[in-house]
Amino acid sequence: MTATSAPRRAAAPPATGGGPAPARPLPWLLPVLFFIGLFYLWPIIDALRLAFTDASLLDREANFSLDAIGAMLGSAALGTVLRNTAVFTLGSVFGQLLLGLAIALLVVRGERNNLRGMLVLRTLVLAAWVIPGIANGVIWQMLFSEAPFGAINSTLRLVGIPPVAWLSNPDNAMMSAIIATVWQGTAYSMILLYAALRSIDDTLYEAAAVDAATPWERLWFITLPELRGALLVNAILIVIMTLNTFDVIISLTGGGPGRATEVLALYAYNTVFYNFDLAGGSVLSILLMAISLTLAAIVAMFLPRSGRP
Amino acid sequence: MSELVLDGISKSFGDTEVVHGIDLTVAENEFVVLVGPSGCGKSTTLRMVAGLEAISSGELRIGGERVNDRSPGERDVAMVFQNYALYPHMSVAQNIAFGLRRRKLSRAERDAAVLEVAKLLEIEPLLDRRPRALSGGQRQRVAMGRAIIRDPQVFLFDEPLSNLDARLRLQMRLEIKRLHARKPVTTLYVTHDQTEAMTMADRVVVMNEGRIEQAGPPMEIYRNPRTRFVAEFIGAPAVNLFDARLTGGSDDGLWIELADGTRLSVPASRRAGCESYAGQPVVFGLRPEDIVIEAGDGPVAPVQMVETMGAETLAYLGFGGTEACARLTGDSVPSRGDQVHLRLGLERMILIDPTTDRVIGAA
Ligand SMILES: Nc1ncnc2c1ncn2[C@@H]1O[C@H](COP(=O)(O)OP(=O)(O)OP(=O)(O)O)[C@@H](O)[C@H]1O
Ligand SMILES: [Mg+2]
Repeated sequence: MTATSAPRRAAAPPATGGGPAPARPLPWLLPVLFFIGLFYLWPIIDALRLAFTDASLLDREANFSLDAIGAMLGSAALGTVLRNTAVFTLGSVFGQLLLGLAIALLVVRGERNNLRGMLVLRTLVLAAWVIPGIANGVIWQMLFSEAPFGAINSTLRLVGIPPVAWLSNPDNAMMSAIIATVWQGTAYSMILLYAALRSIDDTLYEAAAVDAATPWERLWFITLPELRGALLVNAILIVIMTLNTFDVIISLTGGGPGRATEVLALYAYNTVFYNFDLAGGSVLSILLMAISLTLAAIVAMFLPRSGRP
Repeated sequence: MSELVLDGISKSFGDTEVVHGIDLTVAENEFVVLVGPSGCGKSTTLRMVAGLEAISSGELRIGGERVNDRSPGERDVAMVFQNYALYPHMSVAQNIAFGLRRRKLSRAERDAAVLEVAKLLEIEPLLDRRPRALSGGQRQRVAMGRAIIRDPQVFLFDEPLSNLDARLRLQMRLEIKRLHARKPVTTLYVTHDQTEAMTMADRVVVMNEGRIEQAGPPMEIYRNPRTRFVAEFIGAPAVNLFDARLTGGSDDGLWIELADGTRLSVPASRRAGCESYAGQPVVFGLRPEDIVIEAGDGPVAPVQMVETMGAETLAYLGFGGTEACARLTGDSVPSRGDQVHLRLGLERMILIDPTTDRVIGAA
């Protein structure tokens, strides 16, 4: 084994990419490794360790135990929570991608036609993004409020539509949570897709125009294929961000009514900070991470590989 | 009938007009090359024909119909872009077939059409590839295939060869011409390369600063330029221009006096056009091939530099108070420092009025 691989390695050309690799890469990587280790790896390892204990928030004297794992994975709530998480994530991600793409297309279109106000539009959309999630939840709670002054319901009443139980009806609450998340997260998709749209070669559209392509054909044959990479990267990022979202929900619905909007991140948070079950929370966090990684890996498989379109 | 007519076409970007009232008719199946220096408005003109740029004023007619207000897709023109603009996510075959999607063709008919075009352009083996996996010349052919298959009324090219290396450019130049001979289409071709213009065109249109300077068959433009700009722009190496003065009266003949005192007798055939300029300064122009080294009683000039190119030799001579380029054919190559006798083809000289920069005696 070693005998065959050694000469092959010797015959291999010097490392690809720019320039020769430094003779000893370790010193160069050390600072990065240090920070990644300190802020990412260490907490993950610690959570993994805690998952195999009976630690609680009040009593950090932890002994090895598999009880937490059994209790969490066997818990009756987990099924509901996972289903909520799936609905919430899918809804939010598709909503953000579609709306972000739509606004980005609009902005680019407007800029091409020298329309005024495109910068303002972009800034407005971006403003939603810098609002903290908690504040966003509070804002939407006021908008969705079912009291007489609730912004959306009073508008609906003006146009003669009966009020909607946005937050108190378990069937609507998830939709409301998704709307609030999409509203905030759209900016992120918009900016990413806007940049990608701007980098598409204009002459492709000119060639298509000469070929009598309709707007739909342009979108289908040029824009979407050219955006594929950006859309997928965007999807990976917002899937992970959305899976980890609980700040909007906590201030909007608190996970209710009942468990109607309790997603995995919120469930983990509640387990630790309401039930003081540190070990259980760690189990859920590890589960969340595993789901994130799996989904990211699946989406990444569709990424265009380098050297191939 | 697919005549292309530009009738007083102008283009303004904001307050600046960059194309000033172009009048040009491209006859059916004619190959017209629009040539001019960078920034003179060639692309803008072509893009107005394609419909990619709005026409500020004037009328554009294709096949007798006014098309100013039609979108590019409704004008039945095909365009080959400088960077080819192939759809990167489609195969070569799909790229070529794209223009056919509106025609109600069966799959077999479409494939047959694509194959026919691919055969014409010799790109059959590439049909399944993506544009990224093609060389520049191959992309060029695909771009042409995409245009040809639509069988449009008018073909537009915007510097299609400028991204290719010199050898390939030569080859594609020939190939486009051959293709046009086999499958004639009304064609407007833009380039800044005067050689391309000369070699490819049925008719050359020289543009300068948003105006047509002169239009005509290549040899006409070359031999009888109307302005100093055209004389200098067309021809490589460029025409030799000397500051000179016309002297002499009607009895003693007419003479061209160069800055270094050389006196050249104006041949009888050319006298009529320029007699009225006697006593005035002129710019005297002579193409490099009209300067020949030959023993005789012609003027003597020192050879300052020699460039051998195989079939011909360029000799740079100290003549007329400046440096003149002579294009020599044949095997006797002078060497630097030689004093040589010149024979000048004065019947073909170009005389320019320096106050107007127009060629004296031109129509
Ligand atoms: N969108 C635009 N806005 C303002 N000015 C423009 C625009 N497009 C072109 N121009 C100007 O119009 C003039 C003609 O440009 P054009 O692209 O037609 O030149 P060209 O002859 O094709 O040159 P080249 O050989 O470099 O391609 C230039 O001075 C250019 O700066
Ligand atoms: Mg141009």
